[in-house]
Amino acid sequence: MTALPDTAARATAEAEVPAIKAWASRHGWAVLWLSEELLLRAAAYHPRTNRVVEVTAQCDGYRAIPPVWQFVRPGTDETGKMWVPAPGPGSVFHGNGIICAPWSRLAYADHGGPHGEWGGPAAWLQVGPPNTIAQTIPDMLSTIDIHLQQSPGMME
Amino acid sequence: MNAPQSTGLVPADDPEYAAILRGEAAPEGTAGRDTVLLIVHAPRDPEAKPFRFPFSEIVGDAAKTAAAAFDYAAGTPSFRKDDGTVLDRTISLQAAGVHNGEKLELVDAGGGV
Repeated sequence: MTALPDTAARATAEAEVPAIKAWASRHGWAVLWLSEELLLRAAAYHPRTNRVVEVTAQCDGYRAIPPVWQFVRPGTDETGKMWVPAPGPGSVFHGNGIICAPWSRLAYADHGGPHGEWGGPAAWLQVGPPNTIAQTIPDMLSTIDIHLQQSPGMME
Repeated sequence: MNAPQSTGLVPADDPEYAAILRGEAAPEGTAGRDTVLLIVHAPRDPEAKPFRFPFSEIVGDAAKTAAAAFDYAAGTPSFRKDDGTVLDRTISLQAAGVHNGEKLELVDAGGGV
């Protein structure tokens, strides 16, 4: 399958930036869209630890495939469980440090994740309830925030 | 007695909504009211939409109505209050403690896997 051109992914993602910024403003998140890199950086305080939690969304191929969501050391691209919120009840934060949802590319078996039953990343928009559904970037951020608010701390 | 108010998505010229936007009407309790007007934000839309529902409306049904107005197709919609509480989809708006004029965020209540 031919990869989606960056220009198409950029246009799709950037059409959502006004809604991303409006959502972030309502919920106390800081967001930064890096157009050339097709990368969204989003940060908020963990409600229990008061530490900054930062998550990035690599949007190459968006919306043909979901973004790559990763929690990182704030201000860097360094990943690791110490930067990942611990899961609360029914959380999308997986024990292996990824976001486990149909809208998270790393959740798919093709990308090292646990899910081979969703039909692959290209079928992400067809995956339905009871899985968490989020088909735009601000909807994904909304779900991340809900689960962050239920997180008891950091994974490590 | 006031004329019955339409429920669902409220038109922009609705008098009660217009009054709220002008800051003339503060959120009220449930006394003497059969319906509740809610200002609903959705993550995918920078602009909120007003909805009116009977207080007896089940949260999940009201959220489904709001979701459709924002062009959400699939999912398990509910509402989130300003304090972060995600409403139980199985109870009425009244039991969930929503107030007239309250701002809510449309969210998906589907769980992690």
